[in-house]
Amino acid sequence: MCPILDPSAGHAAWSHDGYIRLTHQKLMELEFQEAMTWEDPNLHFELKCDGIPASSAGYCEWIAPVGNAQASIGWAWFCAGSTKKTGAPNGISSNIMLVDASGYDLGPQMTCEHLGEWISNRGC
Amino acid sequence: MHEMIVGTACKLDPGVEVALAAYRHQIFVRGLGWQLPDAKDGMELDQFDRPDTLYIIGKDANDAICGCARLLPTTKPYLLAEVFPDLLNGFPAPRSPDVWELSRFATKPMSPVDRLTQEAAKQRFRALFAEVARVAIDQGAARLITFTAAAIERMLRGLGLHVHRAGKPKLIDGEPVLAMWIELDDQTRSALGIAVADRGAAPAH
Repeated sequence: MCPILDPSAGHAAWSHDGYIRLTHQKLMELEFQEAMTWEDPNLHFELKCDGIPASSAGYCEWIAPVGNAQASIGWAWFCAGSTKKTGAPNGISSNIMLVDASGYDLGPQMTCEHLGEWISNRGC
Repeated sequence: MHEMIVGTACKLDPGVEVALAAYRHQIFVRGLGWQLPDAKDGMELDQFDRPDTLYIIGKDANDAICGCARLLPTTKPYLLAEVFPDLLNGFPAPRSPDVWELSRFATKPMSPVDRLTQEAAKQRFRALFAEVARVAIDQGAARLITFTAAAIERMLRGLGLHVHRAGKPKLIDGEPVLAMWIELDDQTRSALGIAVADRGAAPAH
């Protein structure tokens, strides 16, 4: 179990392995802002080769302050004939590790799934 | 890849060293448009190409270089710490014998006419990355630090590796680039077909 370092107490937000460890509740409290969004023709081509009917594709980046660091979430998206962005496979990336109430890591896979739901719920 | 060569600069054949510098120039300077101040006369070398720098070089069936990677221990000067420490999001640059830096990773063919199918390109990428991981593990690495484009991060995750970013991307020469950790743990080893770490023999009863 890795300790959750409490940014509000003035501690550095990162753990020894570079992850910023957060509970799901703490994640919900962060104020993320969009940092950049861009189209990527290579991703567009790749998705079409994989059989995904993308009309465009790219990446989106959000950040939120956590103590003296920044939580960073990036995700690959594609549009299929409309302006609505949908998450591309294997496209979620972050420096966050979600932990349960006891401080145990949920793991990279489950963290990714939770972040995917969180992104969808934000209607982005 | 037909052949993999692994060695420090001082142990590489001089012909291979020159061919590697030419390959890197073609891929990174001419192909990707990187603004590298030390690149000249068709050769790409920088201050981190030292006699003790470790290289992994892939060659095709025609004996041409078709892939490369560079490994540096973080206990000595390395690219991310010296040149792009802000990509680490304020995290102290690692200085540890079990953390190595991966840089100058490429698997594109030298000649644009030698295009690979997407699947062949993916397999070549995976093969070189597996060799990089093996070599790093042999040097005592438990994790790699690198910086790369978001697309590469996604590709590594798609291969099943345990990778996580250090912070948000920043624009370098107009391209979003981010620092990334690659854990050489059981997940990554299994994804690359490398033997899972031996945790020691079970106690006798």
